[in-house]
Order: sequence, then C-alpha cells, then structure tokens
Amino acid sequence: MSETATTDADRFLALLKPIERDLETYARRLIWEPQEAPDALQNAVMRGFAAFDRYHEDASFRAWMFKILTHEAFALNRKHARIARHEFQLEPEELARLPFTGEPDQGGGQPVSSETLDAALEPALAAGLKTLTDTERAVLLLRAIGDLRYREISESLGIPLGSVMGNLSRARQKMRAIIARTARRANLLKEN
Amino acid sequence: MKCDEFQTLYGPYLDSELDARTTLEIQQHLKTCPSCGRLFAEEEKLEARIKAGLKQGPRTPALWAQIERGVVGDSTQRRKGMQGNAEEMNPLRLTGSLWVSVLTQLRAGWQTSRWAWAGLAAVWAVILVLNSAAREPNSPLVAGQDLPSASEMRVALKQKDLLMAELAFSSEPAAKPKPAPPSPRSDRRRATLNT
Repeated sequence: MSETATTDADRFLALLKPIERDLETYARRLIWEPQEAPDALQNAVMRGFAAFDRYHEDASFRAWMFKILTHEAFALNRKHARIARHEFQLEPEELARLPFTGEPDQGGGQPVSSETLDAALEPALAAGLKTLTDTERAVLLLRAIGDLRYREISESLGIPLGSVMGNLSRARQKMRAIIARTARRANLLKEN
Repeated sequence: MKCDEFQTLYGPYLDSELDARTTLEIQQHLKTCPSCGRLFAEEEKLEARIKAGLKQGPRTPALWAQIERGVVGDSTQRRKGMQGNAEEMNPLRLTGSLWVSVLTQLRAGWQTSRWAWAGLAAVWAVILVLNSAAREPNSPLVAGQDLPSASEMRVALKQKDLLMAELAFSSEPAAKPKPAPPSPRSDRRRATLNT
C-alpha cells in the first residue's frame, strides 16, 4: 500500500515536471496580481494530486492540469474582483482600423520593422493581455502556452467550441492592435 | 473559396483545426490569391512572435521544489493514514476497541446518572415480584413438571364425567307434578281473587 502511494507521487511528479515552466508562465499571465501566482500554482498542483486517482492514462495530463490551474486562477481573480479595475476595452472601430500589422498604417504610419516589434513585444503583450476579458485571455493563453486543441480548451473552460473560436479571434485581434500601436510608437521614438 | 471566407477561417487554419477538405481549399486559394497569401504570411509570422513572447517565462526552481515537497508530504500523510486504517480493520482489534468503548460509555453513564440506573433496577425488581406472585403454584404447564400420558388423561376425563353426572343427579330437585292446564274460567276467577 505504501508502495502504491509512493508510486502515485512519483508518477504525478514525473508527469508534472515537463510542464512546470508552461504552468508557471500561464499562471503569471492569467492572474492579475503576479504575486498570487505561486499560491495558485501550489493549490492547483495539490488539487491535481488529490484527484490523481481519478485521472485516466489516456487523457492529456497537460490539458487536465491547465484546466485545474485555470479554475484556480479564475477563483483568485473573482475573489479579489480585480477584473473591472484592470480591464479596458478597445473601441470596435479602433480594432477595425488595425486588422493586419504588416500593412502600412491607414493613419499614415510607417511599416513596423521586425527589430522594433521584438523590442516592443513584452510590454505590448502585457498591455494587450489587460485589454482582454477573463475568457478571451484564458482561451488565448491556453492555445499559445498550453498548446491545447480547441476541443480541450472548450472542455477546460466549459464553453462551446464556437465560443472558443470567437473568443480566440477577438483576443488575437485586440493583441495585434495593441502590439502594432506600441511598436509604431516605439518606431516613431526611434526615428525622432 | 472567396477572400472574405478565407479571412473568417484563417485563425482555425493557423491552428490546424480545420478538416482536410477545407484545409485543401484554403491552400489552393492562397496559391491563386497573392493578396491573401501575403496577408496570411504576415499574420503567421506575427502569430508565431506573439506565441513565442507569451510562452517566455521563468521556471522558479525554489517554488517548484516547495510544491514538489508538498506533494511528497501529502503522499506520506496519505500513506500513514492508510496504514492506520489497515490496523483499525483488524477484527480482533476492532472487537476489543468496541467493548472498551461500550464499557467506557456505561461507566460514564453510571457515573453521570446513578439515580437513573437505580430507578431502572427498582422497576425490574417490581416486575419480577409481580410475575412470581401471579403465577399458579401447581400449574400443570410449569416447566419441568411431567405431563400425564394420553391414557391417563382419558381415564381421568371419564372419571370426571362420571363424577359430574353423579353430582348433577344428586343435586337435581324432585320433579314437581305438572299443573293441569288452567281452564279459562278458573284462571279468570283466580285473577279476580288475587287482586
């Protein structure tokens, strides 16, 4: 019996190890207050281990752990009611003006160079994530960091497949708009 | 496929979420439409950058060491719990602990409500006394007493019948002479006299 318990912990940790970095990155991006990410991670892992006897070998451990962590992060965000304080929405016409960042800006801006884009990426990503709703952010991050399929995202968040596609499309559009704007600003500053 | 149709599907196409037929249609469209092809190439590049940027993040060794210690600690506690349960499941130990528990409860009950126990004993004694007083001393159905055999019973019953017949005969009063049926006239006269 003791051997079984030890094997369970060993098996669990062996499955956890390869996805630790992605889980931590996901938690830090999804939770509004970065200092709360360690607590969310610890809680999610302990919950996962407590329910490990119900985990089936044929299911994706990665998708299973991301699902648990998503619930933990949502609970934290809800608990502190920080969504309203942090979120700000882009106007639809503002989004429509910037469908593709590779195109010259319709407002008369210059095409954004690759180097400028790279330099501006991290602050732009952080700013862009703040423009997303909780679901849009979770869908985008589950796809980008978790590498989950649409079906897995749908199961993790308990939303229909169509909503996954809709949320992902809106999230990407908003992110591109923010990144393009930030990069253009950086480009202009560089030129000046 | 038309350009606007492609623009609604390029997201799932980028994520390889479309079926084989639609994927093929999009690939053919991208070959024949340079505008969509160019836009898609830009889009793909930017998406790869965003994805790489979002994925960049540290793995904090101290945090994960702490989390893993938590898992191992939980596992150890669970193991101890399982061992404890196994010991408790031993039938001898289980029966023993049950008796100890019952005796402890009785002792505690006795100490806390001595008058209740005394009252119960008194009621029990009264029931016993009443029961023994109500019982017939020579009842033939008392346990342990021998029952008569069937022949003895028949003889006894015959004797009893004879005795009863004798008694009935001896106690029967002498037969009175039957009065002659009164004539209507004499009856009328007797009635007049009695009143």
